[in-house]
Amino acid sequence: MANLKRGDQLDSFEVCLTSEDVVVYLAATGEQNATWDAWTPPLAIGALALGGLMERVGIPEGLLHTGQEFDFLRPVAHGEPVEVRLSVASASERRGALMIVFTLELHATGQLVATGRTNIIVAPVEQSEVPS
Amino acid sequence: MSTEAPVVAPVTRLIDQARVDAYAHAAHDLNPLHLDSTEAAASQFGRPIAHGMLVLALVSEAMTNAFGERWSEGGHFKVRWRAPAIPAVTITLRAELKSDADGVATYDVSCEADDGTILLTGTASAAYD
Repeated sequence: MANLKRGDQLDSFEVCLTSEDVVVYLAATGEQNATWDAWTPPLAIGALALGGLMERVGIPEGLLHTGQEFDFLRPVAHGEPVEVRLSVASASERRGALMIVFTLELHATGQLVATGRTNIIVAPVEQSEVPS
Repeated sequence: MSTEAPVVAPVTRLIDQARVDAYAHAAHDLNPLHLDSTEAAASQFGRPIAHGMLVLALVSEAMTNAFGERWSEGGHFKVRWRAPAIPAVTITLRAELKSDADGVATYDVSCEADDGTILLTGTASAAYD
């Protein structure tokens, strides 16, 4: 992760939540809303996208997810594949802590369905602050 | 929908380790920091902490309750985590209307633990007409 720099693009990957996956996600979060009988909760897609990000960059000790932003542009159906495109918006170091902002673009069926920004800090363990 | 910005009702949820474990599998996020693991025990917290995205899910739930499908079609949020949620903890999401312009309502949102600790702050918005 320390080698990442502004402008870097990670390999894209695909996530897909079936109806069963949505049920499992909603059971885990405790959310109940008929909206999700047909559509996929956009935050569930975001969560899988972030999971994929963490898989690709590794989870170093002291990694903290400190901020998150999303714009949801259109609903995604159950079982609709979503391509996740990730890039590094900024990467800097301050007092031994590495701060990285990733931008996310989620595409489905040829359309941009969501964009986001993820703030990560990799802090020296003794300086860790707000984890998520 | 409505001609007035909807009220976003509070959402309260118990987040215990069973819920965190279930979320870890549902979201494919098996970071040991969130699980009953040696890594969590060795962390500065000495025990597992909940996924920030699990806390954030309360924001999405509250906005969905108020806006329905419109949340996934034009919804926006920007949040920062302020403190870790350490299970078992009961968390309440509250949203207060911040601005209402051109059919888009924006709310200040916060998640607070039952001991008063603020876990998350930010804004969320969606179109309602």
